Amino acid sequence: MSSALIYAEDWEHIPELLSTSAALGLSPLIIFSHRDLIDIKVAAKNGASEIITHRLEPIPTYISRLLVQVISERQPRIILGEAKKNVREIFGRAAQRMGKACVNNCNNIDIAEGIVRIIRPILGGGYNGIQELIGSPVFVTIRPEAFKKYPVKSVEEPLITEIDLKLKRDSIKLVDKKTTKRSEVDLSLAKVIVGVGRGFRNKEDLKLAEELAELLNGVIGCSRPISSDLKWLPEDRHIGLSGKWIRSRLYIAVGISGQIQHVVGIKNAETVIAINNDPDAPIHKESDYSIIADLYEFLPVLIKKLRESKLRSIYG
Amino acid sequence: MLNIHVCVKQSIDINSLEYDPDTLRPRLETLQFRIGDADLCAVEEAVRIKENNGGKVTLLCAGHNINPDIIREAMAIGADDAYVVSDPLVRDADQWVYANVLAALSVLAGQPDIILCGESSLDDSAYQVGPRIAEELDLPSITHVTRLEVKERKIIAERAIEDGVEILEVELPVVVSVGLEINTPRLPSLLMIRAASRKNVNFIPLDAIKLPKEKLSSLVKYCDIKAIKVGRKNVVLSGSLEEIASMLLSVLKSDGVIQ
Ligand SMILES: Cc1cc2nc3c(=O)[nH]c(=O)nc-3n(C[C@H](O)[C@H](O)[C@H](O)COP(=O)(O)OP(=O)(O)OC[C@H]3O[C@@H](n4cnc5c(N)ncnc54)[C@H](O)[C@@H]3O)c2cc1C
Repeated sequence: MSSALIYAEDWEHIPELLSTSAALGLSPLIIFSHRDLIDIKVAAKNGASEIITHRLEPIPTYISRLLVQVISERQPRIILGEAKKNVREIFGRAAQRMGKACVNNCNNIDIAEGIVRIIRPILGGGYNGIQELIGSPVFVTIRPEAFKKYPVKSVEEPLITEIDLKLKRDSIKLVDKKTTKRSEVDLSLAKVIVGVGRGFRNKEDLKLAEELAELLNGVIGCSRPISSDLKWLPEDRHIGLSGKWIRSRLYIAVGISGQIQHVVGIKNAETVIAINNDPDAPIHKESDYSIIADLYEFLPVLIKKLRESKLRSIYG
Repeated sequence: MLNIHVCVKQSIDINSLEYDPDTLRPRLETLQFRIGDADLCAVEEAVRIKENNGGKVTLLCAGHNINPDIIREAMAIGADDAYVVSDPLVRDADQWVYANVLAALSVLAGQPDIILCGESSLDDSAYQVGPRIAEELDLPSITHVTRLEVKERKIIAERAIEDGVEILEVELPVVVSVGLEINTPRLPSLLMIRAASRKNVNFIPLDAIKLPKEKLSSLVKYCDIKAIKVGRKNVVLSGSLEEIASMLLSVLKSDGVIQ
């Protein structure tokens, strides 16, 4: 059988990564992870037969060296990880070292007749790229959309192996890390989302959107500049190619232009409403209902009407 | 004096690309090319480093049918020269092949202190060429950099990751992939554009970088490309703001979101 090596930066999605590997027919399932993160119970319950641990700081350049060593020893068919920034960097380096294929952000993966086939967003996210990976092993990072459910057989007690490599580690230093608080809500699960974009002139003005979201029992999401450039909202609130893909019942895009990279994240929303004062903004083509109006004039009217009506959100 | 190399990709302009409504495949006659946004941020950052520390900025590009005018547009930001491999063998390149060619070009262009890349290309969004080049040249890499400062033989970089921000100190030489947030590339003035038209774009024959065949053969092959089409109703609600608000409430009500 061909094995899967799962590299985990955190253990949040270890069950899904294990079940996805099992669904692909891979066995045994091996996890490679930092010593301090491992959770033997979770690994055992979800079918991992071995956990290989390291003690390196989270610096991709160094971790990739260890990963190459683990791969040479265990000879997995696939090295699988979550599509996260460190993971992609580690996989890219290790793949180059070994002369192997690497694909990132896949929203589907399959193995048919021994060939690994994936689907991933390309061309800004407006298209699915369907690709075949040549050679073995191959490196694949997946988005949550690619997780597969599978009835895994639990393992009594996974083997724990510690790996140590004497690496010279003085060229890169992690001097400091500021961790931002995670949002309490997971956008990809929310039923009603009000998305805010650069049409808002000040951070304080987001109150308007918050009020609307609250009345609809929904949550706030945003375009990438709002979180990454302006830092008005946490990173995990941004929707699109490099952020969350939502599947809400309702998405109201307010002051968002609707560039391809944003729109890929809202394709699975059921009803999309756009509020934008530019009649030519691309978001209108991506919406079920468009309101061509200044958000500063329209939102207060809408909020007032909604408040005065007896209508209430069914999600409460 | 810093020697700075910047990798730029002649990418498909995703905004002008259209697809066939029946097959959902891209319509090749709508293909246009430009340098991607993140790559332009990398060029801008290189030029700022040069302005603050002195040095030379060289663009590196690998692809097929490379248009020197597109390279010159990026040079107009303030690059000094460019090394380009434009060869049919690089047409269906994956990131393994791109990284091999770019790393070889960097060696040819000579001893970089910093190699800058965009975090991902505009068209293929593969998120790996920077780290791959670093591995090929045995250099440290950092990705998703949103602030960069050069101090003697080190860089101090701010890196945006999912749960926060890291500050890293890395010795030169280093490969840095930049995020869109690092800067806003300047719009070149007429003068800069004219100056760029006289700058050297060195087209290097693929033979000259002497790569073995396996380093030029892609490991990732496209089987198909299909547009993701979503049928939306495209109804414009019009009237006074009051009227539109009422219409919107009826929409939400008939949709069953409110009752
Ligand atoms: C590799 C890559 C990845 C990316 N990933 C993402 C991603 O994951 N998510 C994402 O969102 N973006 C992403 N982007 C960026 C994307 O291309 C756009 O730049 C971004 O989505 C624009 O954000 P915006 O719509 O808020 O701002 P803008 O494009 O500036 O649009 C603001 C809109 O507000 C409207 N407006 C202004 N004033 C008002 C008013 N008073 N009332 C009503 N409307 C008003 C304007 O008409 C305009 O349409 C990515 C880009 C690249 C190159």
